[in-house]
Amino acid sequence: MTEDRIRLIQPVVGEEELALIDEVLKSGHMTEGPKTMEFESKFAEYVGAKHGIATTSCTTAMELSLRVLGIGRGDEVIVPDFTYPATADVVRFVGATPVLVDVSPESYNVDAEHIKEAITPRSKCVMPVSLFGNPIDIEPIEDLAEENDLYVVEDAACSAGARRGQRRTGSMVDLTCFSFHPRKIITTGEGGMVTTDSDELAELARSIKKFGMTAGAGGISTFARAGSNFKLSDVLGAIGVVQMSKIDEIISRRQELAGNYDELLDRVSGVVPPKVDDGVRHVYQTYAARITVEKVRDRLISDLEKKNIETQIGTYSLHMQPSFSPVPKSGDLETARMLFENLLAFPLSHYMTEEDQEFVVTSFKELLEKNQANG
Amino acid sequence: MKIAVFCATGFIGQNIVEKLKSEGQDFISTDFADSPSEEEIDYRRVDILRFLGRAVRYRSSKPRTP
Repeated sequence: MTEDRIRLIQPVVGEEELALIDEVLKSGHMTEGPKTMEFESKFAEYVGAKHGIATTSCTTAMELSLRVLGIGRGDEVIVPDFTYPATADVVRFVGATPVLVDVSPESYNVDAEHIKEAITPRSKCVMPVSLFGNPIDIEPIEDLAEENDLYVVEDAACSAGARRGQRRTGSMVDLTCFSFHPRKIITTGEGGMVTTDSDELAELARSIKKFGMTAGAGGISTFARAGSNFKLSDVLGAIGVVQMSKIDEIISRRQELAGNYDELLDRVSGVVPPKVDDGVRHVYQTYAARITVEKVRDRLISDLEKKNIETQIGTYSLHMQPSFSPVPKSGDLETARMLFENLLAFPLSHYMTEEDQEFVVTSFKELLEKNQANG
Repeated sequence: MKIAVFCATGFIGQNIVEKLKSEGQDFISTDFADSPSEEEIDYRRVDILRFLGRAVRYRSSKPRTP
């Protein structure tokens, strides 16, 4: 690949991160320590939550959340079908059963109507996903959860910094899980975070993520319960601390680029840009537009790649993956299938120019027309 | 033949109960939760897996005879 390649995303990291990593290396404290604690505190404050608990990934953050809530064998957890497999896999990992439900064709997120159809006496939790940076429509889900005595664990891997009205992703539900993978808003390479307002859940999460440890008398730890090791190294925590100083600048840039795509794609037929509700702060981890012509998306990805333009699918429809064939499904999951097969994630790199975006859309239009003509 | 549906209050169990009911099958359904179904369904609240688990443990603890 040449240097001219237009990338899907590029992490916004530089000298500031290197300086703090250098400080950690020189301190000799490389496991979880003060830098990760500082990152936890900055992140929790940013999302409006009382507690932030850093983990090794969003996947382990979600597993930790379910373990903290005591979800296990015999319990059902309602999960959208249109998501990355990790959302449902953690449910299986704790021994519970995920029940897959369909999503909205406009927001791409799960809504209360679909969740309601899957509730049974065994349902213990719902795991909505704020996909691509678009926050879930929380109020109807919250009401439904309250009526049916369900916990809500949000997979907000993509949505650090998102808001619906005055309510911030990270402080809307029982436990919210974030990702710091390089394709996310801010990155630590690998890493995740659980945020919560509950002192009790936070204490339990901190214990389970650290071997089940609790502080004991005389500085000697006590192991109060079974636990694991989801600790985030201070090397990565240091990157997180610096990333927090850039998060709003990164989001603003992504919103600006998304606005440019909205205008450019408005002039192209055969594609529907992502819809954003009024009063929502969509942070555009991904700019995923829907191709209205069936069965051309995959060819577009490979044809655009030949022009050095990196694109991707939106995400997966779980029921179409072999691993999820034995998993219960509610309804026909047709919207999830349609989105899996027809969403295209456009390049949204912090460093791309308006000329790059014009080139992307011109190339996309030309290739879409060519593919349509070829059937 | 009478059919027994275990885990009848779960998502799959409920679908099976509805299917059997629509087919007019003779069945009994069980689970450890309260019944979500209408009254005409024959439902017994019992944790059958725990019961079976106890039975298996009891059986495996008995000395084997040659």
